[in-house]
Amino acid sequence: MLTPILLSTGGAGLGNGPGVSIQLQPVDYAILVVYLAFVVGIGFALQRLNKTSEDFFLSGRSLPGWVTGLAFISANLGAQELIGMAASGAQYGIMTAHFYWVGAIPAMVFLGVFMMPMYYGSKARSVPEYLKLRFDERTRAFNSYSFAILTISSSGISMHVLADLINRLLGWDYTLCLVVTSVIVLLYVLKGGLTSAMYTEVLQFFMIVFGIAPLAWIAIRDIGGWDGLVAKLTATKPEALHSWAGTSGTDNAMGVEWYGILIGLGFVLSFGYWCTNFAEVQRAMVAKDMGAARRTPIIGAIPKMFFPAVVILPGLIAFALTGDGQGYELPTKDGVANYNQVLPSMLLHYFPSGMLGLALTALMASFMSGMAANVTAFNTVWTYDIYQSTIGRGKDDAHLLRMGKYATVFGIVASMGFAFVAAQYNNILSILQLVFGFVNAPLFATFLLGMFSRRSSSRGAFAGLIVGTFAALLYHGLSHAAANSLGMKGGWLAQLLGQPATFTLGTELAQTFWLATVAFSATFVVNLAVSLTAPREKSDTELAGLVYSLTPKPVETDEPFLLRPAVLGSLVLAVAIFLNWYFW
Amino acid sequence: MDIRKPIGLLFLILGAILVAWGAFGGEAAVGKLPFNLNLWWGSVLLAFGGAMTFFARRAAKAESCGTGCGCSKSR
Repeated sequence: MLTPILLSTGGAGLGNGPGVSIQLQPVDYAILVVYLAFVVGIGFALQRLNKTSEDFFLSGRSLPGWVTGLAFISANLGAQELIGMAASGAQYGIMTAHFYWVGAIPAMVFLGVFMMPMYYGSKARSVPEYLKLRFDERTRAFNSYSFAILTISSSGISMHVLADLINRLLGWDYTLCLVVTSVIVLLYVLKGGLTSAMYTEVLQFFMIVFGIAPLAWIAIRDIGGWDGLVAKLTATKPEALHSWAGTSGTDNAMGVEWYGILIGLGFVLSFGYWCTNFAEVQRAMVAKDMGAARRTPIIGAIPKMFFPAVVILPGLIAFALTGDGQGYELPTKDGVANYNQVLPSMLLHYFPSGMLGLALTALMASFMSGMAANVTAFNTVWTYDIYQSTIGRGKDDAHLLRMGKYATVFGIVASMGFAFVAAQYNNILSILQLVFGFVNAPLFATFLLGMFSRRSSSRGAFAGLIVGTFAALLYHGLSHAAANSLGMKGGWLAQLLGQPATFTLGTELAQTFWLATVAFSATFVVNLAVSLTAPREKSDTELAGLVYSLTPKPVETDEPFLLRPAVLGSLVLAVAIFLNWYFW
Repeated sequence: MDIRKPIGLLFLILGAILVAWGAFGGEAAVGKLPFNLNLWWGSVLLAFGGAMTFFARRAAKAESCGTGCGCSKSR
């Protein structure tokens, strides 16, 4: 996932000192309770609509584009993102926006315009199932097992982040937090299936925007408008005002040159996440028709583009306000700035009770939407790709529906278990990111070739995945970030051989970018080489609907001009390019 | 189910809570800010909730489920 990468480079995890704590009034609790009652209520209201496994896992493929589009964004908008992006805004400034304008928007447009015709048109019920149709069973197995494990662990980590935050802010019991939030998510997913997960995601999207957006507005008002912010930062930290200006070399906050950002983040990591992660793609796969499916990620990209104003800006202002002795100061721990508490401390500084309850509810909402997205993707992959393709062959629909509900319970319990593991071991987050890097980049290369080259074969795909994953391991064993000593965080192979690391990079982020690039390239080359040297396995007729050139182009002419995926996508891209230029 | 209905209702309720708190909550509701944020933002939530409810009702009245409508033909 993209956000946790940032949290780890943003210094410490949340586990840092007491810092901020908040006293809530009855009105704050009232807001929280009303919200929780609504999400559970939606689950119960949708209960009667969940009769078949199609309904439970795929919402009966009936949702309109704006619902799937907002759910698409909400699924990714976990509590880690809100907290991590504000932290990074304070620490690195506008450069953080690369995670949006470079690391998200282009991939989302690409998914909608070029990849959804195959995902949606093939009627695959999941991303791994597409791999089964395009290649074979073992490629699907590689994807479904790695996805199932990574999804549960990242869901567990986000549970840990939230419970830890609530524990520190409000003093509520850590375990109680975990159990209560899990039970609520469990209730509405079990009752309403994917439909209720996605409906609540839409509701959570508005909750997050209305709960957090006023902070940026109040804070910018307080610092004397945009001009006031620029004036303050120009005096103290001018580089925080630029996204690209310092990237001709590695002497910038990310420690990466512009081409490393473009290739590593903008292409491999971002496309690998947005275009192949089932928790995201699932939201588009269940739209009511091809047009809505293709518009899903593009509609989602519109609010996503402006999220830096909501999440990064408060962090940037927090940094600028600090040190003028007139009120706000960055929270510290042992004399060092504790960036991960920037968002809560800003909320506490500005918001009166009432608004504070709304903002806190928004944080809870962001956490729940991320968790429900992971769980609904997990239960689908488990039931369709793992269970039905192995021990559950030929089972009837009622059986699969029951299995999906068991998988939901299992997924949530396993995430809770993983949250406790994450609470015990501090570096579990970095290990997990590493595994993401190892698995996602090779998978993306496999998808890219599978969708856009008819020659790519299942033999090539599998060989590519294996070699790509080993290339990632090898690169990791030979490289390290300058600040880290050789070992777990990179360079372990060099350490074993008793040699200095072959590659030394400025930051862990740079290491992640280049690792993904290496893994992607190795997979790509091996996949092509093996595929081209062996005779073809599947004919053009068998590949129809699975490969871009063999898929009939979706008819767009009956749709309003501005809503056609290619037109809307181009507009979104143009705005993203403008934003990159404006905040150069 | 049209998702705009519950969203509209939720924000009408939350907006009403904030407006009432802003109007009658005294100093605690204003905090350190130079203006009454609860009152202002509560009104924004009320307006948003009202708009969502209005569109949901209009769609229900039309009873045709075209694009942009939150329900589906199959239901």
